[in-house]
Amino acid sequence: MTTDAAAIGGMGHSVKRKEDARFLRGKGRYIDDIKLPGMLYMDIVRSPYAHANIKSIDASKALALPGVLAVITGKDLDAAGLAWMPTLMSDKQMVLPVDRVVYQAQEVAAVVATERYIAADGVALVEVDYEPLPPVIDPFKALEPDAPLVRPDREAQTNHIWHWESGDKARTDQLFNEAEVTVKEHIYLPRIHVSSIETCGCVASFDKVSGKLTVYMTTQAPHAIRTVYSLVTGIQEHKIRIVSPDIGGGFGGKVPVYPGYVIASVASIQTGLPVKWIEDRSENLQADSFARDYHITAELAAKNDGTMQALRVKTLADHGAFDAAANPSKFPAGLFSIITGSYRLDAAHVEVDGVYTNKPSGGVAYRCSFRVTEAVHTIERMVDTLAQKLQRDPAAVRMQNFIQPDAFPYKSATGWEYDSGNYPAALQKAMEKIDYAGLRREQAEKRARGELMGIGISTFTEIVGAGPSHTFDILGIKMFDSCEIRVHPTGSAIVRIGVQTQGQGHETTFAQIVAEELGLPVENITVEHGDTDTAPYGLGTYASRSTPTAGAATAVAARKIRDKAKKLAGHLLEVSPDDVEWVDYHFQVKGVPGRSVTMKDIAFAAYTNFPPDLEAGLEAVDYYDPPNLTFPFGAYICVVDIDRGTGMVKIRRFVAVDDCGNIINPMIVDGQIHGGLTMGMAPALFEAITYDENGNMQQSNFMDYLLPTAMETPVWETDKTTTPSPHHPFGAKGVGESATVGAPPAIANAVVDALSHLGVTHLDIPITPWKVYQILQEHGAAES
Amino acid sequence: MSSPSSNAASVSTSASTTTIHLTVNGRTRTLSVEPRRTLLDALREDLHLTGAKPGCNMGQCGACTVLLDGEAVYSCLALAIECQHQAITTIEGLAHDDQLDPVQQAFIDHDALQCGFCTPGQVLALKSLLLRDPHPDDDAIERAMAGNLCRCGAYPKILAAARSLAGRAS
Amino acid sequence: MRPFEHLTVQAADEAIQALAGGDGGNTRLIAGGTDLLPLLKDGLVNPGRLIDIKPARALRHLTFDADGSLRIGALTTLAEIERSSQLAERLPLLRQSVVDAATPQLRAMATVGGNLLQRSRCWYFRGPFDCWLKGGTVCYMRDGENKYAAIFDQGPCRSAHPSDLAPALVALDATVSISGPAGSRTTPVAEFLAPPTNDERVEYRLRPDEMVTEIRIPAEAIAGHGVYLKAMDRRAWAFALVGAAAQVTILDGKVARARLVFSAVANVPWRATAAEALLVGQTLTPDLAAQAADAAIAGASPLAHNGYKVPLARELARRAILAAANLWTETN
Repeated sequence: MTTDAAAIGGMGHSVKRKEDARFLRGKGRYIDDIKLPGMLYMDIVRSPYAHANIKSIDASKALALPGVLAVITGKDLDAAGLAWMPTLMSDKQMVLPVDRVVYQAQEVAAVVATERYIAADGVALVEVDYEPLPPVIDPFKALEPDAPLVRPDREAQTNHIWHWESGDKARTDQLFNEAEVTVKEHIYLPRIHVSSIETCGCVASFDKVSGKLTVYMTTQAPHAIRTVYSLVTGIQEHKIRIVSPDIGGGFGGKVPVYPGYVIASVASIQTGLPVKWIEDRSENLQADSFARDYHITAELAAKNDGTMQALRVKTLADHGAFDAAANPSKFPAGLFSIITGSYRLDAAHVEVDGVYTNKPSGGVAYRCSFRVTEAVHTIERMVDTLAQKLQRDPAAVRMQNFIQPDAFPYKSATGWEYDSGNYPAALQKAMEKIDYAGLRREQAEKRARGELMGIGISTFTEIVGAGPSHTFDILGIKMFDSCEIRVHPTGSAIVRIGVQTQGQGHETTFAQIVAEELGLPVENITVEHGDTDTAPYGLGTYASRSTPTAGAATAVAARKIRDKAKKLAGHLLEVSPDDVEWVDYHFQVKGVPGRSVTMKDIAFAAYTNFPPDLEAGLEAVDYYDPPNLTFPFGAYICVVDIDRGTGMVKIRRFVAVDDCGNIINPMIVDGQIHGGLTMGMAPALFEAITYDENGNMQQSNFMDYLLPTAMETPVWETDKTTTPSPHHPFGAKGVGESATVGAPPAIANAVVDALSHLGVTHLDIPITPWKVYQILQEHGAAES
Repeated sequence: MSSPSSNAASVSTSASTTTIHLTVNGRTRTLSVEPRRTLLDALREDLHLTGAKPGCNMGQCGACTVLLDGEAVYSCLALAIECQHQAITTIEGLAHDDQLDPVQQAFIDHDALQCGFCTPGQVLALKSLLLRDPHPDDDAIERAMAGNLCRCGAYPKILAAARSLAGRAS
Repeated sequence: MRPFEHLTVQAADEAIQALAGGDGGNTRLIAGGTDLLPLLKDGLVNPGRLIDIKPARALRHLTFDADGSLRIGALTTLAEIERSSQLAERLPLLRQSVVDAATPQLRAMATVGGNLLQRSRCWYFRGPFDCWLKGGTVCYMRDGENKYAAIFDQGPCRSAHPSDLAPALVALDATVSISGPAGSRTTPVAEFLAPPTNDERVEYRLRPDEMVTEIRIPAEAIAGHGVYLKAMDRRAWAFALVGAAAQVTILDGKVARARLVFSAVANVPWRATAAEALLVGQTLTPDLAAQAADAAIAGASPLAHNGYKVPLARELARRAILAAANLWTETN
């Protein structure tokens, strides 16, 4: 008996997505599609000032508007002890201010009305008397002694939040003192915004009879939210249900708890009616958490022959007015210490200082795990800077300094244990695919003619799958993840997982894991997630952790079922379970292919014909505590042409060789890499959030904050190598964010490479046409 | 010449809502709206057709794209009261019974969506192009899709779906 | 968006009559709505009454008259200009000016008349600032965030005109027909669009009781050949950093007529008459184009953050002049 592997649709099959049918018919159920009987609408009054005292709030005109039921202010929340809430980073943040606002567009009051348009009309009628205060916008100025204090509520009367460091300072300094060659660059990674096309919002529904609060919410981590809600409000956790329905893109922006969720919940408890709150785009861009904003000074020490020895990095991190970063609690700078990248280094020392400014809180991801993009950009730019200084080819310098395949598991200079990798193979594959040698020849010819062409490489190492419980927690909750599987009598199954999808295709890939492990057809497996009343506890989806954690839990839970199924198989085949083997998606008597049973047969027996010493049923739960993180990697090569007349950078080719270990669904992985590359290109060429001196945000809509369209997106040429993770149950590593992490330095390196003969060693992203054009002007290289 | 002020049927005031008739997906629907109600809100809130999505409400993202007489438009920038004489097609009206429109099927075949939020708009933007030009070249396809943002970055696969429908190798 | 009354008219004269209520600008016409709706939503205009003129089909046409001139109804959409095979053949400049404007969806809604009446994209004007253009006392752009500001100083306001179509129309010597209670008048687009002044803080000259009905382009302008080149921060769906429209007629090897008009460098489309004068009567060569481009930017007074626009305008001008004479293509 053989089973058609394609019909099972297990590991490695490009199974079409289960999610597609409803999305394509407009039947997805996103937050704003939810409508409950009697539902009210909430809209928010926001501060026009970055820093001001609130002298008074007069809601009388708003309350006089027919349809307006309530106006909620900070004083109302303060009375209930809810004016402030904890952040994930041992700080606290305002839900609604009692007397001061600390960034532009901060929530000041909320209007609750019977109709969406009326709530908006009500917002316009709330009169707030502000006394503007001098804001501090520049994080360097924030550290000066006479800087305005962003957070006088704190004991420490300073804008400095924390200092964090990693690595061996003494050894690093020593290597720098003795170095034959050093390079140094100031690298600024600007604020950017994930800008999922669906903004954030919720529908809060408090049932006065049962005392149960249900909140449908755009969240990537429903369980953690439930626990925090319970701790903050005192409502028993079983009386709180958080539901994350279809989510229109997350990318990290839907990890934090935003004030709107809390205020809408309070409004529902007060009114006893469901309350919907949906941000508009300006609110989303202006007030939701930001990524990056790292001011980095990096130095690399090496020998004259190109051998890299030490890395030294100092960083100022602009966190805005609250430290509401979304990192594991013990990691104020995330996993920034992955900054040694794919390279052997004798020592490294990395420092980060967090600073408050009068801006919205930052420090969430932008489709990348915790601060890994910042780290990868730094090391990949520095390797190029070194190559440039030594007049060496950047590919050769990388090959010379890679951690070699036989060195894994490899302990990095900052203490991470890389699980597996083969960096030279990935780069070699990328170089062959793009004809690297041919491109260098073409570049030399073009340069001789005065044309500008650049080739950029990025050979990045990711660090994902947070994480092992000994180190990783969020507010004390360990970062395990979970899966519960129930196999039904007729051989179909339901799988519930602790993580949550925002486009990654979990309903398909997690079914494939179970299909692979149990030999049930993927079409007969339903995956549920996102509802805390039904899903097992998990920490949610971000930082490419779903497959490394919940994916592992799913495989382990399925294997628990298979262990029990083996006993049932023995029972059905009338042999000892020890004489049964799992072959080709079914059980057979060892060495006797003709005597076999399928999982479908076994499932039926589990409810109808089980031996007396076995419990009925066929289900299992697993809470998976990963033994280590996983370390996906890749080699990207980008070719750019620059228009000397306009400074326009065009990506002519982009080859991406990724290694994410064993792949569940190649089609979905390809889409994840496409998306990651596009979101990597975006900050490299287009996106940045900036403020004027008064703290007015300058990109509050999509005509000022430019996301890539189909027109700018090049043809991504993807390929792969496969280096399984040795500690993951099926050798997978995670892939959602690799490309976002790896792409920006490949593009930046390509542009710098195109301009390197002019003496350019670094360009901060985003590399806009006019930034390039100014450089061409300065060097007399512009077309005329 | 008729005097507009005497034409009571065409006047509505802010004090009251107005009864309007919209032809949506082949059915005439009667609803009562304020003049300021956008087509997007009328479809979503009044007719419970939530396939068109609010991504920006300013005509800057494309998620609310619907067809007016076959032409892709942003429903967040149209007033419902002004759409009474055009055939409105939303994503819900594209499939016939269980038969998906070829554009919808091509999106599945080419894995041209991820989170799905922008997808109805993408499908209708492409549908509009193909209604005008069944065999567009690559440039026409890219330009036709330039008004719909996809933050998941499914663009290459969306373009592949479009090329397959245009009868071109992807 | 505040509540408003809503009225529908079937023809221009009905609209004029409805506008004649004398309510001091409290009534606004709505056509495509692609700029008006965002202005309403942002609360930048708050009319008590809107008049929908879209049903006035007589205002929606593209007509080449016997004398070779072109008439474009005010309600003609940008998409209709884009898709006109006649225009593609006879007036590529006009078609080019719209294909890189906005998006297919916006071009399907937006009208030619509305395009001329669109308001500034200045960040201070659109944002929560009491700027001069909105009736305040200060143009914050002068000393503030002025990356996208005008490089030519035309008065109190420093915002840059966003239209791609308008400079093409100016380069084509287009006139605009305007109807009002006293009848019709015709004025060049180049004068209809005018820098805002203390008394009229708007980029066009139209009384509250008037409406735009038609655009006319004379045959002598159509006889030439032209292009529109646009520099943007992304390849689509962005307002111009700088745009350059050039329309050139060459007779017997010499330039007989030349127009060079920029978008996004001044309060309104900026016609580079000095550059045009250099070209007329000459044989068009790369050197001459470069000299004209130099002349085109003479007098520019960039601010702190928009200096890049000066050389960019110069380069686009050089390319546009050459391309208008088929001496430069995008692949060069």
